[in-house]
Amino acid sequence: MSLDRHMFADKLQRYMAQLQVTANDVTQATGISPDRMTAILNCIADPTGDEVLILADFFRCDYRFFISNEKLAPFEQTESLFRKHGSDLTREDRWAIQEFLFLCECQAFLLSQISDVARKPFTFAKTGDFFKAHGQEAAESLRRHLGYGAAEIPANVYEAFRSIGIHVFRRKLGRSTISGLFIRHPTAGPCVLVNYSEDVFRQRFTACHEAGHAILDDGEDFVVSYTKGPAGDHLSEIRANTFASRFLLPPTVLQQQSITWTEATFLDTAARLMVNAEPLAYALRDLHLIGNPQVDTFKRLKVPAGEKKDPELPDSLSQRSRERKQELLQRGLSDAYVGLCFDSYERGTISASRLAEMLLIAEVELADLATLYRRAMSHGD
Amino acid sequence: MAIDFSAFHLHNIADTCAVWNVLSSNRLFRAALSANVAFACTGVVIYECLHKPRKSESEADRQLQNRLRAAAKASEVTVCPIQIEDLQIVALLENRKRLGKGELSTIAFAIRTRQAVLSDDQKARRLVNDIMSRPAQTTPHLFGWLYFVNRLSDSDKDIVIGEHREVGRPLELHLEAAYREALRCRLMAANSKGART
Repeated sequence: MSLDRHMFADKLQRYMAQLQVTANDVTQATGISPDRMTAILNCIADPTGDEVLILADFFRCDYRFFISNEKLAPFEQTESLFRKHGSDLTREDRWAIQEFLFLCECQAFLLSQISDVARKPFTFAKTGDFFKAHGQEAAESLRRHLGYGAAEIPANVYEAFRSIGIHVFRRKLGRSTISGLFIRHPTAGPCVLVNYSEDVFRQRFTACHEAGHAILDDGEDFVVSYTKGPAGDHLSEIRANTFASRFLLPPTVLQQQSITWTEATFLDTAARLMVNAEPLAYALRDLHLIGNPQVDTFKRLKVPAGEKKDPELPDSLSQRSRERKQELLQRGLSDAYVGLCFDSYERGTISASRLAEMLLIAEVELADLATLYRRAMSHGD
Repeated sequence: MAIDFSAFHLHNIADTCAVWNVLSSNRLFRAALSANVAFACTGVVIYECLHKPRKSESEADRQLQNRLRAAAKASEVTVCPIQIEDLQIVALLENRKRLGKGELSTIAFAIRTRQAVLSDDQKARRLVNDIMSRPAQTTPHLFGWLYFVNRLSDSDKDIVIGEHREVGRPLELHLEAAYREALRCRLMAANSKGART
């Protein structure tokens, strides 16, 4: 089968445009000579097999995407996303999204290879056209599906959504006003990215909000949510917010709080329920437990930062491990994902070289990461 | 699978890990070249060794990169390009998603040219052994074979292992084991030859 030179050059140019890199950037990062790069882009020469693999590594995609017509990469989705929201995304944000999608692909592949991981796929059929009710019913249904007690507050929402087949990653998005996004990957399925730049409770709510999109916006290829943005009043945004609120703050929990609502009791409750002031204030109002004047007062309150614990950075970590793991988390590498990768390596599912690719590092950097996670590399015979 | 230290295929296409392990010891690399062992690697392996961005770069990594540049310049390590057609063969492999791109390119090249794959990764070797008639070779195998054919002496062992350890490579235990086993095989071969004459 011969290569379609024009198709290859077109895909390459479109990736370069999406990720805002020049031919010079590519040649410097890959070692492909400028002359070769020019010849490939101008359809004067076919790329070699090496060049295809190197470019796939650089753009973090399956190399077969470049040489086949199969829908192996979420290329159309990212192209539309970057076109629609391009002005809100820096070049670093675009790369963060590209790497996030690569991590989702890797995670989907690794999970497909492991038969003993408990998975609880969840689907929800909407009825009627009242969007808010969809959010409420889906949250209640998911809580039941996950076996939560009536008063149970999910400790680690990231794990909860991963268990139902949504690929959730957190990643620092530089100067972006984007709080999170959902993309339906053609091979990996629903993928949720949470902006790690935001505070811990906000990230928790965003994860639920984006999961709401993943569960309820079945016709959408992607949805972007802003910290404060024009889409805030859109019906699907209201629905996703309702889902998040009802998942984290179910009425049974809030109605049990037989207390007089003061600023102190409100903040104490917010910290205990692991939400910021604003969503708690609106949730209480929706249940008629407080009135509008209290909402205005309470929603401006701040839960002290020291009260906000990240479930993926436990207190038990030493200071140095904590800093290293935080640094990795900012790049999307959660304990759960890194653990899955090392488990797969130890089981013989993937080679050390593939393990390094999946962890976004070079092979020579593996030993250091293995030490941090107390894993052993096996070599030789 | 037990290694036969009496035999070593001379033409090797090395993956990234094996390139670093062979170059980790100058004594080992020189002995191999003097025994007519030829090393090649693909463009992807060169990219992974020399160009792929690192989050942090160690002194050992820089040293190995310099050695590879020098070896490539002196044609002691040949860079062999793989073609699109090679990739299309690899694309059919069920296990392609389990291997890194350097390993895939190495296997693709070895399939076409019938060279031996030199890899120190167990998973990659298992795949090579499944699909190719010639089993993959390893750096400890090379080390042991060089003893078997008397290209290394006893005093070289600690030098090779010391050089290997100095640049942070992980095969010390395997090199020790290969050394002992190769000497045992050499002794048995000599005894059996003596018995025949």
